[in-house]
Amino acid sequence: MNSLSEKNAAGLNNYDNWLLVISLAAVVFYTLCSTPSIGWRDGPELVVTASYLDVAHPSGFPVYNLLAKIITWLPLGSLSFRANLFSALASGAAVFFMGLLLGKIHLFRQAPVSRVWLLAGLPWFAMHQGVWAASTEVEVYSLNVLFVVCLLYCAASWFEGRGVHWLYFGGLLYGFACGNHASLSLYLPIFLMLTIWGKPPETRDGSPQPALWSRIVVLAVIFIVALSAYFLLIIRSQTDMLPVDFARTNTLERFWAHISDAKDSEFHTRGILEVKRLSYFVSYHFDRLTSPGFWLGLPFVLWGLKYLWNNYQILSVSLVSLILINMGFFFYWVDGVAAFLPTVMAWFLLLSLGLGQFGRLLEKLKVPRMAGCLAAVLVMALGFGTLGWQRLAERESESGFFALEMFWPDLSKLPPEAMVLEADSWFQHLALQHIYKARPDVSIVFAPSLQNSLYITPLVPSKFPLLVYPDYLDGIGSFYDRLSAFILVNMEAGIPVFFQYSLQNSFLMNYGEPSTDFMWLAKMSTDSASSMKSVANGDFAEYLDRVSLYVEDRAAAYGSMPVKSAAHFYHFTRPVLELLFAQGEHAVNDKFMKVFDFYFTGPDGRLSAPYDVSLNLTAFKADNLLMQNRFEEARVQLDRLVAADPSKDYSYLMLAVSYDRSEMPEDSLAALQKAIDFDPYNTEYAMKKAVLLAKYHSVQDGLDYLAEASRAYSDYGLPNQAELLLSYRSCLLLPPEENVLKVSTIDSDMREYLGN
Amino acid sequence: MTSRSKKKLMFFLGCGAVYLIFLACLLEHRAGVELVRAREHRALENFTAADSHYFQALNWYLPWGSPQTAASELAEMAAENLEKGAGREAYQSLLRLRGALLAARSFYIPNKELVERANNAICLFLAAEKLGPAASRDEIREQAGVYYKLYSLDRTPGQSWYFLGVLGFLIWAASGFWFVRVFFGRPTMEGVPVRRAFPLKPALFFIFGYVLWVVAMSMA
Repeated sequence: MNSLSEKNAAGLNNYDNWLLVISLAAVVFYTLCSTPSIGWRDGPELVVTASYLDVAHPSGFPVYNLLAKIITWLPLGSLSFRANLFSALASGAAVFFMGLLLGKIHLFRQAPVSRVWLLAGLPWFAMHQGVWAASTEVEVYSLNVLFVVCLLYCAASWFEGRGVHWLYFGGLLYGFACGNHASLSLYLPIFLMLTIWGKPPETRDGSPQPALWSRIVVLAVIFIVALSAYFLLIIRSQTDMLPVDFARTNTLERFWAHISDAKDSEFHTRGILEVKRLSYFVSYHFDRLTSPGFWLGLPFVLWGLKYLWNNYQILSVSLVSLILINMGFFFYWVDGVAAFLPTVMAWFLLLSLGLGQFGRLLEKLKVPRMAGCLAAVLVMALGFGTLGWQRLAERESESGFFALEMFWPDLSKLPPEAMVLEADSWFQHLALQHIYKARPDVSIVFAPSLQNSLYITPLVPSKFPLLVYPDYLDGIGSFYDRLSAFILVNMEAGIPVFFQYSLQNSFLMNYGEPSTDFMWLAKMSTDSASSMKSVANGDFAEYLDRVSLYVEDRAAAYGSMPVKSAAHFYHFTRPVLELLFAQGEHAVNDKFMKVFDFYFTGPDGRLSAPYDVSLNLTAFKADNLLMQNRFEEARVQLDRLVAADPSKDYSYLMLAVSYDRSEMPEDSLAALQKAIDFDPYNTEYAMKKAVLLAKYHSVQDGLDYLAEASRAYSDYGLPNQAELLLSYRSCLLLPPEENVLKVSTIDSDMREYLGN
Repeated sequence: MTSRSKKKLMFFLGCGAVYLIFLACLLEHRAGVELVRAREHRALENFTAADSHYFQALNWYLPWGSPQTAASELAEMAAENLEKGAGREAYQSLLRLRGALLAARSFYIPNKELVERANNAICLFLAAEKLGPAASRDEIREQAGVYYKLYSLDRTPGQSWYFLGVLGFLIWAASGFWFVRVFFGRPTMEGVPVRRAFPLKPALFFIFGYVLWVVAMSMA
């Protein structure tokens, strides 16, 4: 081999160079794809909490907020965009440290081709859908992955004999990692296993390892010291006027309830209780997480696992345990891939080790070094070239400023001093209020946090300076009565009150029979929740035009509308359409449906979305047709839905609604029963059945059904849901003549504003 | 620090600088695209669409270039609409302008004087909306003063305490690692357990950082 080839090969197989190139390329890709402003999920809340070092939803993410705060000082782009960049940088760093870790545990340092192949899997990891999504929007998961990789690096350094201080670095890092996402505390058994059963060699300089008991004691102290980052929540909650302050964690009891996510503890453990649904969820997530690439990579993953087992047994057991714990905890109640990123990381780590072994095999087979390295480089380029290009196109067409443009009119068109009782889009409105400071005169009150007994916070008047809050409200014991009185007192004072959602469907914890006032308000909020958006926007047609304009802007370049955006698009414009239709504005609705159809089916009329996505579109169409009282047409769509996927319970619910509206009671009840058969502990279905029984048979039948269902839920180990059903009895008993506003009707107040 | 470490550090700092330059170019390009769209809509008097695009241009904030042009043109458009008696359109534009500039804040608030002017106009508009056409000028101004207390820039928190808090956190975290490295790192004599001196410096930094963090977070 001539010296030029050797030089080229040396350059090509320079591990550090390639690692740097891959990591930087990943960061650049993520930056190009970063959401420009607020997004759809928890991101908007985290932008606010990072900016104000506030208390986010459980478990609070103090370390995330402290680190993300740094980037908010960069005077480039908006605050939201900078927070998105933080995820990009964290993921880029995770890719870099994965490469360092691979270089550490791959023992064939004299095998250059093998070392280049070791990195060939990293671009595929970087461009993985879940990794990419978490890296291009505000979420804690990319920092989570970085922490896990660094922890493994510390463990590997310790096992290499570089000194016990690496174990203790790991302890410190683990404490901080738990301060980023508390779910990492689930991996404590792995950490203990590494400490107790890991038998690293003596340190390189010959000094012995400390005794086991001393290692554990020191680790425990170090871990607790790092974990004290959670004190940030208590400290910050002592200050007034934090925008979020999710649980007002200013007492130890509330602090503990917050960091342990006590409000959802039953939800978290339900998966363990519902063993019979285990097989369903395993197959559901397996289908979603696997792809052709999964099967192609599986042999390399197993090869990598075999290599790790032979050389670092305890690390291989740790990785497998990590996957099992990660999947086992989250699989029941999480849809998105983001929560499974540690599993994805472990998968690609093993895959990369397997590819490293493949490279070694090429060397054993005397494949020329240049060819071997070039082949690895080609695989890397394919990763960026194929997946990366796809992601780039996805982001450009996916959301852009969609969420911002969807929610801005909500606030900008509200009358002065309005109060909004919020739920679904609280995070987005929070970001608009505290990052964009859209309408400081408007008060956004997050109703669900007021309903949970763990999160009862006084409706602090200093937080909403224009709202009325007389002292006597604090003396009202029942939460329902206090909330009702608060709303009524403000309505009487002329504050325009808007319900963004239904109070009725959101309370999960019951503490006492709801008062009549509350149930009346809950019922009214159900009826008027959909009015909020339409009324707040004032000019409905203009609102639709603006949203359509945005859709057209983006879709014009790409010829179709990505489903996720369309789902949000439909969800938030639906209430407007409802009101317009009620007012006889059919033309706008038809126009909307045309826009909707066009951007899903494309100009030639063929459905452009994949099969399962088309089912959602069919559901939207059916929903829209129901709204227009076009029941026969809706049933055609629904029959298609049911035929395509007979196990989709929600389709049967919609069928039940269509039959109900067509005054076909027995068909309605039969369809609803099918939905209940597929999802027997769905409170929405149970309530709906009770309403139908009360409507078509007798109120007593409805009440009896609720009592029976409540007993079944209780026996199954769902006490809160059982209470919810019992409290729903009040809704059945509420006579229509009670639905008279004690003060002037909200609707008439809203219409007065419309007239201005 | 060894020369190799210094070289590595310089290299990473260089990468960081290149990334920032790339970011600035990206923002300028994207802001420029939105600015062109905004001007097109403005020429056609589609003020709502123009508002959106100016707003989006400002989202790609830079202290120079297209975003700054977008800010001044949006303010200009609002003023023109006010002249024509289209108060509601002007109000919506000013809300957008104010929102975008405040969303671009870092350790300073950009274009503060523009934000203040927008504040004043918005508060007057809201007061007029609230009180109705029958209200006198004095009544409207008084009501506007109530809203101004909420819209005022004084309600946007300063960053000094936040900076000290984050600095304190980084100091105590870093000195934790430093302490571990010094106290549990290699003994000074190979193979012979040695009595290590207590690492006073890292410990002092740790305590200092922790106290700074707690105090600053209480004050922020």
